[in-house]
Amino acid sequence: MLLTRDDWYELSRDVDWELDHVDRATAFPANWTGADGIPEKAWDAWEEPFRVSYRDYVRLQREKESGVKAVSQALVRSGTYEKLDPGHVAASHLHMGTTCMVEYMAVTMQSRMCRFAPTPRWRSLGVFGMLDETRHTQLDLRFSHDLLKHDPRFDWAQKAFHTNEWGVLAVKNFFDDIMLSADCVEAAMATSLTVEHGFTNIQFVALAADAMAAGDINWSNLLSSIQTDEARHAQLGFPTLQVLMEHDPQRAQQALDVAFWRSARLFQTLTGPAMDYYTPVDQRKMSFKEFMLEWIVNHHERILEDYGLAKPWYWDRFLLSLENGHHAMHLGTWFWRPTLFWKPNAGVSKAEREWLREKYPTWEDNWGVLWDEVIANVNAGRMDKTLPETLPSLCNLTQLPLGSAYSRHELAPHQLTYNGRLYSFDSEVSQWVFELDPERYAGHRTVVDRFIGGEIQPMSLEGGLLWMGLTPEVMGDDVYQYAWAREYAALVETEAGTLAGVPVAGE
Amino acid sequence: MPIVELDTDQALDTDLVGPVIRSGELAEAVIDAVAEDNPDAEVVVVDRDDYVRVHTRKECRLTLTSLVKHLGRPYQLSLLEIDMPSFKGRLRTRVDEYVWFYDR
Repeated sequence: MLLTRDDWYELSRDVDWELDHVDRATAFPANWTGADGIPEKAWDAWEEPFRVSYRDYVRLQREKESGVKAVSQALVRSGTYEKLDPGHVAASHLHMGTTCMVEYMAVTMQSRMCRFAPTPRWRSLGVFGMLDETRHTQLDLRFSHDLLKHDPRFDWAQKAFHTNEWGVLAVKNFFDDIMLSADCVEAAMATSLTVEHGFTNIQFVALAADAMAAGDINWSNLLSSIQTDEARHAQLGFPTLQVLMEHDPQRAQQALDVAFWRSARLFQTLTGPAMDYYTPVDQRKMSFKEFMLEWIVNHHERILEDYGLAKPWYWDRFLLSLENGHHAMHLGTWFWRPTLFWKPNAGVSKAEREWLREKYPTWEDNWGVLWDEVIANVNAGRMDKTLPETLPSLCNLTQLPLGSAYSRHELAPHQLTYNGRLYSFDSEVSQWVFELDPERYAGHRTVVDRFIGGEIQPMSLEGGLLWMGLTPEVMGDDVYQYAWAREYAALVETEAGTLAGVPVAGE
Repeated sequence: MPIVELDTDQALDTDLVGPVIRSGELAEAVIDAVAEDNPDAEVVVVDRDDYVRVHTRKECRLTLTSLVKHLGRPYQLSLLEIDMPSFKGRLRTRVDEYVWFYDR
């Protein structure tokens, strides 16, 4: 009788080297395993939720690849891309530029797990994770290469992480920390659990639903195929969490709370604007906040409770940020649009504002009034008032603009002095993260630090754009050439009186 | 074993567990199989067009036998991964049965 996988799995997963020439601590140093303080026997309880054999893996991945490639080839030939809404297309530029090389960084992280993880069970699964992330990098590169003839912005799938574009630097800063520099246990908490089990669902499942509604079947299919791998290999975080909860629950709670806030801020930047502003309003499945409540609060946080974890201490502040943070980031990124490598949609036409008001009851008071100023300036032809002359002040933890975490009314400074230097933060939570381990973050310089340090020449916005690698063919501008402002022109004339007859920008 | 389809904007019970499947033939078969494998539970289905949540409360079983029956062709549970971009709850995978669950 043929054995099934369950008959031999528990034997095979414990196959391991017996070390003769080095001691265990040399072969598996604690600064790579992250297992310091956890008894070696504790890892015997590491029980993977998602069993995988190499035979299964190869068969399934082959099927997945065939599926993605078949859809891709058919759609590239059919000219579907040319028919997509340019607002939606901007979301795919943003995704490819900020995600492709993160997938590549994850190859290194998973490789570390398959070499240094504290149990052979985890090391075996690390091999599959490493192959998964290689696949994701190659999928993104192939997708972008196919579309490069339509738009040079797809070149940024490979190029972005070799530039100093400020948003890309913020992404690199976070993933350098939790993927490339973290030991296995911390990477499991921050990346496997928080990013892969939590936040990538927002980008790869929820945004995939928006992409499908927008008619971008090729990208939607790619995203959800990638997430089928993530859903599997993210699971290696849970048995690691189980061990940590037995032996060092405080470390688990802290690692997850730090990673959760930093992820939330980053996805407010990457996914929030794409969902609530770039995706055409009639094609949006749900709001960013609704997707976050579904995937992060209901889906992700609930399972952490099951392992005995408490919600992060800043939960109320997170919920406030959920109402506001991505709106602030969107307003900021649109205003600093020459510093982007994609073309953002302002997303504040009358129909879009009605949708925003319904989804976010405080939107008009917090953000609508600021957009009114932008609209008045656009319609009055004062375009210089809608563009930046300087760089924004950035948080010394998240590398994101100060004032972008909560509502526009919450601008209290969060600052501290460490080793004689003043550090500023976008929130009290980011400051708390810094204070937990200041040596880890103190040397990270923001774009503004580098500007003040004279590394960016000439010291002007133009010099900054040059330093960021932003060339005219990719530099951001309003994707609809301000057409959305025209429907407000009559209103401006009526209310302001003196503005009657002012030409509308773009005409 | 009622199957309840929720409106997309309806809040989900936080105790629900189970797979999230890409829309299509397999998702339909999983709904019917989960209903058969969890006879005392209400099966909650949330269809978001691109993906479908198939959940029951606290524990959700899916057996190979039921899935093959409702799919109408040979199948292996490991293949589920190809069309399962996510799932809610803890998971235990065996050749003949997947179980999603919460302990608390």
